Amino acid sequence: MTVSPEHVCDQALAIDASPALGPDVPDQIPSIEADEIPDAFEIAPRSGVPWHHVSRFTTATVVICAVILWQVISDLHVFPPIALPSPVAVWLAFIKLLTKGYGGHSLVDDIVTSSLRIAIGFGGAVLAGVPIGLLMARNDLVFRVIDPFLQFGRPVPPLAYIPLLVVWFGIGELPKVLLILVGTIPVIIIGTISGVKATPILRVSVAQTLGASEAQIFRHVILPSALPEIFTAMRVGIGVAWTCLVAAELIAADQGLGWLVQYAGQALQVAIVIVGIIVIGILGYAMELTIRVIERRVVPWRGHG
Amino acid sequence: MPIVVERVRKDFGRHRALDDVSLTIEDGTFVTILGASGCGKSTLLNLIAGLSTPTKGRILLDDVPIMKPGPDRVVVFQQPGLYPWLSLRDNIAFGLRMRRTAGIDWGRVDEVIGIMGLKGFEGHHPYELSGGMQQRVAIARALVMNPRVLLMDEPFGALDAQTRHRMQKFLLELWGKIGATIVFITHDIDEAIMLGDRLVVMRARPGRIAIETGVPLPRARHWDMTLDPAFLYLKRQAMAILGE
Repeated sequence: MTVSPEHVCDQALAIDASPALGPDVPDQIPSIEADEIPDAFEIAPRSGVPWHHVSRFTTATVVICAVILWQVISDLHVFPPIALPSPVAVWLAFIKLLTKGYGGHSLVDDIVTSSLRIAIGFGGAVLAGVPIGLLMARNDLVFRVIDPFLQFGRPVPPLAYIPLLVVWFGIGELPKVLLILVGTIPVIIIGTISGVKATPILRVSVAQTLGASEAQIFRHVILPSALPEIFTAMRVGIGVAWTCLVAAELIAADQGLGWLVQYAGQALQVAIVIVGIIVIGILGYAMELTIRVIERRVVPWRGHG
Repeated sequence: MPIVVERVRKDFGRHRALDDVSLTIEDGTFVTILGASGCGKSTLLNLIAGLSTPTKGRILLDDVPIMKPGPDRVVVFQQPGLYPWLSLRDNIAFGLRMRRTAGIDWGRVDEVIGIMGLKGFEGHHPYELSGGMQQRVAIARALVMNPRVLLMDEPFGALDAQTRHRMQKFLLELWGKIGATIVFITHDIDEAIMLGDRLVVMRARPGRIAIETGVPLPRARHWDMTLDPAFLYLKRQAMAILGE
């Protein structure tokens, strides 16, 4: 049986996200990855067994087998080539997209456009959401004012806002960035609040008896204690942001990866659609990994109590 | 000036944790407070620390009622409660950094690191240290403040027997050097008698003081003394109260 370390990590993360009250119990596992940042695609192994080699090998094998299977099925003409182009056809479409582009702009343009929208929308959500969450956690009045909007907005799928945003702001950049912001900010705010609330009471008591003021406790104890959960929220948030963006581009855009998929689909250019989907998947994964790398730099103690 | 606990009562909702507790702790003494879990001994310590306030009665330090925590009464808790994002040295300097006066006396920090036997680990983070070492860092963090009173809430309760033993010995040596008042909470009878100058035994529901007595053993303690008749006499008395 092989368990991918990625998977194990995600489970550990899910457990970690709940408030841990008995915090400073020494970790039994010797720390390995305090300073060194392992290869972004791998979590450092926790034992002497080189599991990462095994896992890398397994991953590569699975991907190669899937591609071969895909090639075989398309060669057998089980489905018409227009519905299921072969991997080779998709690769050629990819090269053509890179060099000549499609529908007026190249693949790189679409990637840059989509990435910029994410950077602004998601960046804005973090820059606004973290302070709002901190204020809400600290001040009861602020909490009572903002919480109803949050509770109302949270169950609404962000996609439901698209028609409204299009009516209000057209199909320019603003509605897309706003959609990302509106979709992501509740995740960030709620993560920040729960990070503050999960601060072990012992850490606060210690600071109090050492003579720290309320403001100092907030700055030097509560804020760093909340950071791991803020990063969890960011990792969830970037996924939400990506979903919002692609959805917005599918419906109302003239550029971007979502638009590319939609436009090529209408023209029955299935190979291009598949290229678009793969690029969207890889980019989304890369964004999550980027946050993970930053997280390891900023919160190296994560998972160590 | 002593710490004076005057007829203190503490209620948590309808639960009475402490009732009519009076106690005087003289400067420079090592007082151990012994009791079963739930007898209110930690509640009493938190009141002296200023982390909570009495429902009735008052606690005086220098004739001034204690209202809030202060760095003259630092607490060492059962769990080290270190800050995982700070190095060992920065953890120890935490209290000094919170002072609003300019600058940290790093010489003092390094002196305490030496006293606590933590030299060579200054740059380590808490999760890289053993449980016993973490607790030593917690004690160092308190000592560096030069507190008049060191409040210790079962500080060795979470350690294994051997480490615990070593830490007890170490604490006695340390106390000889620093001369602060120490209030030490424990549920371990041997530990209470072995460490204390004075012994306070508490009874539960509601928490009250059953006996308060001097420990008639020489200050230079040794583990042979657990067989001393004076030790055994106190132990028998304490066991009777704790109902063991």
